Amino acid sequence: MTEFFGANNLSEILPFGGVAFFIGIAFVLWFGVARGKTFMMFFQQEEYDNQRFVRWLADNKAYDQKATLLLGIAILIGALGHLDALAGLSLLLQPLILLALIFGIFTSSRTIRNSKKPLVVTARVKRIFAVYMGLFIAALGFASIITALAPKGSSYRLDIASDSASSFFDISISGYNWEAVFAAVLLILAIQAVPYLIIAANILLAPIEERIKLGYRREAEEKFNALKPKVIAITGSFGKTSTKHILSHILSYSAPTLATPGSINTEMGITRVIREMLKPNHIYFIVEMGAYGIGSIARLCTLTPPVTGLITAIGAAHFERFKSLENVARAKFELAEAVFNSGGTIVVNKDAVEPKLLQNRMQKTVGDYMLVGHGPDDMAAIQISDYQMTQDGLTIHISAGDENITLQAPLYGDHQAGNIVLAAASARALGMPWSAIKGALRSVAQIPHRLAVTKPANGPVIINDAYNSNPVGFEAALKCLDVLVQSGGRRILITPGMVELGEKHDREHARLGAMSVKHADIILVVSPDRIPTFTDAINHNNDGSVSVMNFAAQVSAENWARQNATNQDVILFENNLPDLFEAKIRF
Amino acid sequence: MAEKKIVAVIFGGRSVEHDVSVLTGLQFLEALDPIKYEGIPVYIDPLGAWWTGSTLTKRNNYPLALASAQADLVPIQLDLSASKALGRPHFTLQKKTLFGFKTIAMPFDIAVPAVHGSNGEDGTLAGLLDFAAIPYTGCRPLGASATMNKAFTKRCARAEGLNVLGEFVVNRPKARDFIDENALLDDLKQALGDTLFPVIVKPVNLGSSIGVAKASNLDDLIAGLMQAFKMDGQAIIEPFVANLVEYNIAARCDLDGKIQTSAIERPLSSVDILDFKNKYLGGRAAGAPKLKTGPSQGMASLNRILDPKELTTEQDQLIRGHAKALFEVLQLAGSVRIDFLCNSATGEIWVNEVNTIPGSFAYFLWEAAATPISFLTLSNQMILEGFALSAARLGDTTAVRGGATLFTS
Repeated sequence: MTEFFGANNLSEILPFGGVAFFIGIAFVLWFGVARGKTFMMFFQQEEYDNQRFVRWLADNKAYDQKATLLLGIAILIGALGHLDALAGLSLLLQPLILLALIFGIFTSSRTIRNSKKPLVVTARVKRIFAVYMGLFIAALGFASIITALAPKGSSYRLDIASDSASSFFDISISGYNWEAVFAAVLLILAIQAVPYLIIAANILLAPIEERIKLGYRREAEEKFNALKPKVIAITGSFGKTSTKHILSHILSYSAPTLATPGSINTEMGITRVIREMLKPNHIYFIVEMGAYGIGSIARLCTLTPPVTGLITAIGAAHFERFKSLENVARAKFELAEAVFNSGGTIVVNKDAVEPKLLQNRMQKTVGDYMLVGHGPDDMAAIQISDYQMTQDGLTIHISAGDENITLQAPLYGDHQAGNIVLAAASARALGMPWSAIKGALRSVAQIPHRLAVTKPANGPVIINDAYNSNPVGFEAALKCLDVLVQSGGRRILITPGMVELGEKHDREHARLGAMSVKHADIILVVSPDRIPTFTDAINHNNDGSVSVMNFAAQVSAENWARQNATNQDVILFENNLPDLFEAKIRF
Repeated sequence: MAEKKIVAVIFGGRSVEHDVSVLTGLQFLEALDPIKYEGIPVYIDPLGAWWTGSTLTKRNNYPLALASAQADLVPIQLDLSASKALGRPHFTLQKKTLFGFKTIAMPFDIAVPAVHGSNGEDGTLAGLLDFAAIPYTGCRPLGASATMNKAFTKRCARAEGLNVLGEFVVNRPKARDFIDENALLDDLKQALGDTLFPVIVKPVNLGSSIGVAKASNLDDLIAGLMQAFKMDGQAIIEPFVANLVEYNIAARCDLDGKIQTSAIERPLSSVDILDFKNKYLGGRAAGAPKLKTGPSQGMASLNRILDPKELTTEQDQLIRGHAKALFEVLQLAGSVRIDFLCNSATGEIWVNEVNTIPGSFAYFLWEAAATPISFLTLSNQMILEGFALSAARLGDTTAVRGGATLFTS
């Protein structure tokens, strides 16, 4: 076997001798897997976007510190090994390197364990991870070779004696070995390179991903064209998931209906839904379409051409991507163009679009618009004349032409009234009679994480609005606190504020802070440093009747509420940010 | 002494009453006479897969993490080849060996269906067991499926001259078609009279109280019907009984072939209609998930009044008479529970529905009967009756109900 390597002894060519080398390599690989998985998780949350991921790395200072520090100490000890004072410590070199790796593994798996949005192992994740591991191992092999070449041997040393009793100077031989130092330096490089190796893997895989995507899309197109369900497309800055949920519920009472689940609204996501979930019996297919830029909705409409379209709102969400409301509107109204091409109707929640913007858009894209909103308004075909929110949900009085109709749904929140009417109007546009729409609305299920109200028999009322991230929804949720609190109970708000508001961040948070004081008795602010204007506004407007507490993490705020809430209380969980925004990543 | 009979208690199931069934099944296992019987748990998960293993016998283990490596939880299949040819009925399971998988037979002597509601209590499970010539307890397919259909049960009862409320059955409109409100109103008035509302809407074929709604106006009615049509192709509309009080009674056939009735219960309920939540969660202050928190007793823990004092002798006799008549005409077996509606102001009583696999097998009603019997005795008699009925079906003329001398082991 040794001849195989062209050396007399395997341990001679391997750094640190055979056994130590293999133990070391095993730990380095373990580290590579653990740390790779951790970064992969965040890479997935950043939607495999290299630039966003790099920005995320910089914003979160997510580079390794602890393991690097330990390795730095190792380098120092190794480099100064000739000093008598440190000579003894050289024995610690290899254990120190090992310790650094174990520490790195520990911090990685801790981050994974504490994550709120765990890594979803998709085929794509597997591909990227495999290539990443390949790169990591290649880097490791390269590092091993360099380490093997590290100078080692013995040097002569001249000691000048300080006491003249012995000979004046002495020549001694001392060994030196730079292997460990080399290994430590290269390991620091490897550790710091992990996120970039993932990016490199992603870049290498880009052409393959593109081909896979195309293949999937073609497959989906074929299936879609064979089944030809009636597509109802939903887009909007906010409210689309709720509206989709309500419309899907109503239509399911008419005929088998499929709606894209959760927040799936990209081409890849819709493609997957078509391939995996669309069945021949589905007559209606509700597709949420996300506007990720100009042209993205137009592209989605070529995959699933809609016969009816809903625009829920043109607003401030994802401001960072669009820069102006005009651009947001332009992107969303691409849907109108596609729907009019197939002779369909566009239903718009006119209350959630600036009138000028709406007018402008309606002039540019002419077709059959059905406007829905608070009346009286000549423009609106379906007008909300009045609505009430009680413990049992919303009762909405609308007028549609000559008819006056009362809709009842066990859902909560001002903005939900708009969503309900928008969904009802769309079902009407698709030919459902009002009696059936009314009947269906009675049994709408709570929309998970979107102002979902649960009333446990033994415990406080819970309002889960964890997925909301816009000021309108925040306001609506605050009002629910007043309605749902039992007599003698307290209104408790838990929130880390909102994200992606762009330049409006400070202003909106100040406004909501002032409003929260009016609707809550206890406010638990999570990571207050991120939203200083919110806490300032609370403190400024607080006459002393509201208790305010700050928490570093969502989980501690929730624990407080769990321990202190009574059965009469109502707790609002307003926006529970994904990892990207809250957790401090420290390796 | 003869070898112990192996009793496979089948519970869980693809039904909305899955959780309650787990409690019923486990209670039956605990009630078995340990000298005569050895019980094995057979759990049907909500997706329809069958499992066995001692993990299943502990209430705290539910809901099960089936995917996790629970060493003693094994998937099993019911062998449907007629057991007569092969000897004892058996489940098969795959055991992994060095050389791949090996099929192992797990024999048993009698099955106890304890699956409430759809895909169990509706006669499908009984039919499956009959098909495979496997002895089992409780109702045969005829009685089980007849009582699952509320409209059919009422027609049978009416034909026997028993008190039942009027009803109107509506079929689900086909896809993209809707209920014609005016036509429905006309039909309803013809069937139930002009003072229509309030009415009760129920799915025709579901057990329990799922999908039951009270409608005070046309809007409510349409909403209720649409809800019912989500679960069933047919809905039944009945007049709402004012001053509603419910009475339940259990009936069974004893070893001498005589139909016996249990104590009468009045379930306590604060609302005017007992919906699913109330039926199974009510009466427990905690209201927490049923299976995780012990020591839940399922139906046995529902708040109730046994032998309610307000019942007159006539009412008591009417309930018992109706129960026996239904038991006979529908050819029921096992321990069945018959539910009655009563207008407490007028004293009128109507048959509401029949549960052929009632929660907890209604043992608590038998324990409180005029001649009380324990759950142990009840389970023993159900098993003996099951052997007799299954043997009779297979043409064993000596084995008839009431002549169960073959099984004195």
